[in-house]
Amino acid sequence: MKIDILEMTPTKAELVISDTNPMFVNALRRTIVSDVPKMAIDNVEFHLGPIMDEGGTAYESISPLFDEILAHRLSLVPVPTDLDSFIYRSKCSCNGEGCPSCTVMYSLNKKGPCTVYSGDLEPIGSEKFRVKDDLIPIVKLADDQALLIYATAELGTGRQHSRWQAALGAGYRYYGKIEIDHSKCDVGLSCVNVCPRGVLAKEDKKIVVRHPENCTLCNACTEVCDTGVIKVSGDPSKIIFRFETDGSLTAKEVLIKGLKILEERFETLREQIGKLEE
Amino acid sequence: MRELVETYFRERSVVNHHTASYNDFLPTIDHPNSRMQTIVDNVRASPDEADRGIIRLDPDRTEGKIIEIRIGRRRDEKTGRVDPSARPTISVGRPVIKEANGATHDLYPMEARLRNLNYSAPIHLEFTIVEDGIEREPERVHIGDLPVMIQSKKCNLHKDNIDMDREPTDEDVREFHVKMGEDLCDPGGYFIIGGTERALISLEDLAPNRVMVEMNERYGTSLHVAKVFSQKEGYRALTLMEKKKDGILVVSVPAASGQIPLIVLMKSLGMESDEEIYKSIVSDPQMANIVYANIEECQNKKLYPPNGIYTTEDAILFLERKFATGQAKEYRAKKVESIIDRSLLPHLGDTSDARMKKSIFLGRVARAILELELGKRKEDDKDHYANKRLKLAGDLMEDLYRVAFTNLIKDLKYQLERGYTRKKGMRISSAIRPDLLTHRLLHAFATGNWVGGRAGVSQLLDRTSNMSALSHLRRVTSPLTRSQPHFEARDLHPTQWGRLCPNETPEGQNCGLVKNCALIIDVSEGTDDKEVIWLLRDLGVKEVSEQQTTETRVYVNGDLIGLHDKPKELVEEIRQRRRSGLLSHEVNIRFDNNMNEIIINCDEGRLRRPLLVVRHGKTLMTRRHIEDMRSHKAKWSDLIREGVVEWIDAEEEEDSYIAVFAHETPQKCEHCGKFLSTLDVEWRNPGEEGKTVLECKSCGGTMQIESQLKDNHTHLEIDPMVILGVCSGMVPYPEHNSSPRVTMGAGMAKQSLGLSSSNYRIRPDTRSHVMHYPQRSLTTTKTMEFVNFMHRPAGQNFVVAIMSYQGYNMEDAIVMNKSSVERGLGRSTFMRTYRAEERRYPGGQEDHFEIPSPDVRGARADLSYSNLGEDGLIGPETRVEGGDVLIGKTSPPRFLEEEADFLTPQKRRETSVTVRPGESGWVDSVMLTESENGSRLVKVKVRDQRIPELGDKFASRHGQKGVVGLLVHQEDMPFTGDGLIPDLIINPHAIPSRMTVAHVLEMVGGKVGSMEGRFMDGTAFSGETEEAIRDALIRNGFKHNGNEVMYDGVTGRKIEAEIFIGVIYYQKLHHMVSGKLHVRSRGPVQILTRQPTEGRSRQGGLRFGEMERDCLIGHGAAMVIKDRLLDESDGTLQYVCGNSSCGHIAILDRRGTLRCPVCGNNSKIYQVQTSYAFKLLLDELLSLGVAMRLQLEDLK
Ligand code: SF4
Ligand SMILES: [Zn+2]
Repeated sequence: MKIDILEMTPTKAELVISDTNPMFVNALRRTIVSDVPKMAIDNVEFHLGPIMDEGGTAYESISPLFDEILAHRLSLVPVPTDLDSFIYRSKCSCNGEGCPSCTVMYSLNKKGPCTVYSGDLEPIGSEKFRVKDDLIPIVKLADDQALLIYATAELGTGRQHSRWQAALGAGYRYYGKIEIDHSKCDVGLSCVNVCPRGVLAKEDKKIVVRHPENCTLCNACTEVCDTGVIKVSGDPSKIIFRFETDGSLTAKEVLIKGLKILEERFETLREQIGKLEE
Repeated sequence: MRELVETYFRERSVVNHHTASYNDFLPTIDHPNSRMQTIVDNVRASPDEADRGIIRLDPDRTEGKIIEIRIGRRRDEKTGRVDPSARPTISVGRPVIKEANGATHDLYPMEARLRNLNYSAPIHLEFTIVEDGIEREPERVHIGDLPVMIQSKKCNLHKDNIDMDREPTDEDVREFHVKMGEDLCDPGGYFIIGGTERALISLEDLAPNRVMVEMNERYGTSLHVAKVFSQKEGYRALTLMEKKKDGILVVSVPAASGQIPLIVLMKSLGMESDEEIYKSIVSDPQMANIVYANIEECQNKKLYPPNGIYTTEDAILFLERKFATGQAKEYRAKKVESIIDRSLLPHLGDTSDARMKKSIFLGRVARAILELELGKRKEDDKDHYANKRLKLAGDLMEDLYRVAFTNLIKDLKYQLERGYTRKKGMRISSAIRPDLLTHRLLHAFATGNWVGGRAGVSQLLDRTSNMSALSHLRRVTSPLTRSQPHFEARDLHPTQWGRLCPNETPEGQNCGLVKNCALIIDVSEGTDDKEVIWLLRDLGVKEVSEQQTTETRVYVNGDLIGLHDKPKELVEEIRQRRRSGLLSHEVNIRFDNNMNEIIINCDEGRLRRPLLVVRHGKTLMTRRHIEDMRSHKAKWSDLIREGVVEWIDAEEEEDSYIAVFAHETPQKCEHCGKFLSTLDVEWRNPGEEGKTVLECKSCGGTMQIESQLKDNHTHLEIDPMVILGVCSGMVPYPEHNSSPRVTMGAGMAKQSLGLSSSNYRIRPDTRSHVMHYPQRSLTTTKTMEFVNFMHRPAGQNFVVAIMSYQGYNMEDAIVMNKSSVERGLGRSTFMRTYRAEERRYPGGQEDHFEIPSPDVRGARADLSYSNLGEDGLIGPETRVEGGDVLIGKTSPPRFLEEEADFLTPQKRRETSVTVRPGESGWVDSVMLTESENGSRLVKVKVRDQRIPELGDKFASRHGQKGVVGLLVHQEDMPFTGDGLIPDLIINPHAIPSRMTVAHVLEMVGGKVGSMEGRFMDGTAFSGETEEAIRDALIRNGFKHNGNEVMYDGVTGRKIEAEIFIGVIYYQKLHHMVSGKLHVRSRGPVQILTRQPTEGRSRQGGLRFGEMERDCLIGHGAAMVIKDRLLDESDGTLQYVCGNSSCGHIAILDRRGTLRCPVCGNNSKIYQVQTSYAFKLLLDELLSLGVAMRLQLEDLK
């Protein structure tokens, strides 16, 4: 197996995996989508009743949106996650009570008129849990409206709910294999014009495949070609794999964690089979 | 031309027809000749009172004094006409509320909605008492309250009624509306009665006062009939004339049984001379013989003893004998007078002065019948829109108010006469009963039962979404009964083009009877026909002396006014005057070449549509107009005044030749090669000679093409998209769809959830929905701009793939991405408001909001009240389930007198308000206020989050509806090479048989829109072209046909078939599983039959119907049938007397012995199982005196 990294930024990764098969890459894809854990707000407590500020003016704890909408919006805010220092709340020594090793608390205290952004979430405790993407609008408050919220984030996986999904837009495609029978080709250019990805080009009175990595196997070129000289097929052993993250984990972390989970699974399998052999 | 449409909507709102009509009804300072004032001017205190607008008291009851009370405006003594410039006597104030403690203050719609009030304003009328000829100072008295239309001139939200030290700007108005809790996109045009919003539905009716001829097939022979729906001041009378087999023309008059020979009737009306009669009928020598025969018939001594009918006296005598035989002479005369003056053609007048006019009119009706028989005239088309009139809110109010006001005045007269004493004098204010008027008006609004016996005129405004509210306000219903077929009436008539939406109509029994207005319409308010008649006289229209003529007959509002010899010139002249503003734009004229008639209409209720005027192949609209419209300098009314655009009714349209497009749009730009739609080119030279010059908007190059406008064109369509209504206008590319699908799409837009109003948090609607993340559609239409769809959307843009998925999307089911749902796709909240009032009962008892104490009858366990506060009300943000108490309330005992025990006081009853069974949610708000009569009123709003689940209904805008069949995790969904996962998977079978090409087109359009970050234009007839979209797809890296290669999310392998995938607007419809889910094991039964109750709301049983029964019979499962139909339904055990001569139901008496109460037998009594319904049948027959005996036998 050979891996070429086409792109690797904190929130995006694109790799070419050769000498592989779709099942393997799909296993990886499914793992990073639904099994890689991350932190997300799971519990939101709203203050009910009037909220006073320092000056003694009373605000109503109400907003244009219903509490459940606000809670849902907060749950989708990407919360920075340190996979090494957190464990699932249900498996924590606190017995699910919530403690610094399984939860992160945030507070949100805003008085209208204003727009509440994700950056207004104040982590209780370490500053490193401050939300990085601080301009996600949550709600707009009018005069005399205020919000006082305590939110708890905990670890979870995308399988439970997509708020715990770290990897987004995960997909892959087979590498394009385009064959042109130059002997019969009349260089009509119709295939070049119809190709949406600029894969084909004309060079030296010949149609050449300039960017096979861009081909989506859409077959537009073969359909338009009257002489039938182009053949497009995908190569299932060479796969371009890409995904993005929501920012709570980096792309690299996601990939490594995903591989680790797979590894652990196979490890358990091997142990079990090992036991059988004994 | 969209500039025109934009200009129109800058001036008028989508519900302008209602507000304008209501404003015409209202008396305001700038509108002295209002319909309300006219009603007052023409009111009659009693039916036989000659003078109008005056109450004349009976001198016998006023001790001989002659007392007149003038309520209408002063009349000219000679002509008897009301001086139109006289000061109005009636006035309407602004909406106010009178509290129980006597204080009054301005009322705003939101307060009315919240407090269950009527949004109504006081009506004041000026009474001038004239006692023995001495006129007293006028007295201004409150006579009742008038429901006020929101956003009408009297509404407190109207710009003119906002108190400010300066002229309020639009910004001020908006600010004010927000302050008053209003939604800025609310169109108004409805009323608030008892806190609920009520819309008046426009009625479509046959045009009154026209002669309609038709052929009736009866018993194999065709019968020629003419009908006239004569209408005056709300009174409708159908006069019918038919030709009998023997050639005799007879007339049926309402209130007179039987038929009257035409000639007799004409003679009785004063047309004595036979020659005159002949002339007023015969238009063609061929008719002469029939008319002769008719005249001769009258002279038949045998039929009309003693010596035939020659003179008016003869005729009247005949009528007297026919309709009032054996009565006193005086009564007979009166009866005939009432028939020929009141019942016969009342629109021509109801005094004896009008008799000659009626006679001439009858002659004309006879002529029409004879012409029909001779084939010189065609049957009138009842479904032609020229023969239809609309009754809008103002007209309906007029009908209702006239009746209520006449009642009030009658009552006032009675009260004054009864209470008159010379000493005390007379006080109008103490004799009048304003409640009489108010209640009459409110009752009609609250029940929808209008005067004239029409039901469902006022309806609860549909607030499901903004579109449903708008569409409801633009609805037009036909009075035809929905149970009969009425095929022709349901069909789309060509004259509805541009007036009524061809697609928006309900499916099923109301199909084609309930219609909706097209986007731009105007309903005429009516102008005075005298002006037109004077003008016609000036232009040389001659009086009619006889019907036989070659000259053109000129009709105004169905009345034959005169003859003219140069019809073409006359019509041209009148049109020119109208276009130059010398004549009201409401006047429409048509020259009917076939019948050689000129038809002029200026009455009210004509549905008209705007058209650009074209002369000599050029529009009157020029480049300057377009530029002025763009810079907002030109107003719609200016264009009408200039004669660039005019309103055309269905009659005048018959005389027009209308071009749909001014030019063709070339497929491709000659210069830059872009695929062009109508939008991409600019018409450089409208109104100019020569070829049409088009400019490509993207490159600026110009092209010259042939103009489509020819010399014989009279008009050009404003923009073809305006033929659709507001709901069909929402469908993108409707011209690519099969028509029923557009109809279904329009119907479903009205059921879609979205942001129905911006004040949803304070509105106290009984049920309402709000979508959490509504989006504007990526593929838009121009119509959306004018109906505020951009600000009140109802739907979301879904990524949709068309493929099958494990069979879970068979039969229109849809497969949804669970992860998308978890991220907020298709979420909505359902809100229900519960209300309770501390009612007061006669006897000083009242309800109380409190936690019922345990000794209250029917009190629940303490736990049920644990959520309530001390005041008996629940707190906000409490979680509640079905059956939980929201408002603790007790009521006084139901029957006070029925006291069982004199020592203990009777217990109060528990009447708490609980959450509906099967519903749950959080308490959103609790509102405590005071109702109009001073008692406390509570409204509790409960909200429930609705996340899409299995069985919820979704639909695109093309009538493609389906329910969720499976929610799939993201990783199991198919994905594209870019990692894109569809939100929704629909089945390929949904497309071909339905022919919803626009659905496919919208998907690729949405794909381009989301890639390029712009809104696509899918407006009917002018949207972006398919070619341009294909081009754009390639530009954005997609295959030109929208297909993509996808990979199976489960196996990871490439899916061999290419998958069509795109972005399309989907709507969540309000049919959700959580509102329908229902099971029952045991539950309530009906008291009468003891069978399980019906319906979910009553926790009813599921019906085991006939077909289910047949199925079990087929299986031979007899015991199952018995179980379902007897044991689990209403099976009971009865004791039956086994005495073979008795067989009555026996009883188990108190001592525990079995006994037959009829024969006294107490040994042979058997227990029998029957259904309770059977026992009920026995008892019912018994009550009729039928002895029901059951003959028992042993089982064999
Ligand atoms: S299959 Fe599609 S993307 Fe690949 S070369 Fe042909 S046209 Fe271009
Ligand atoms: Zn161009």
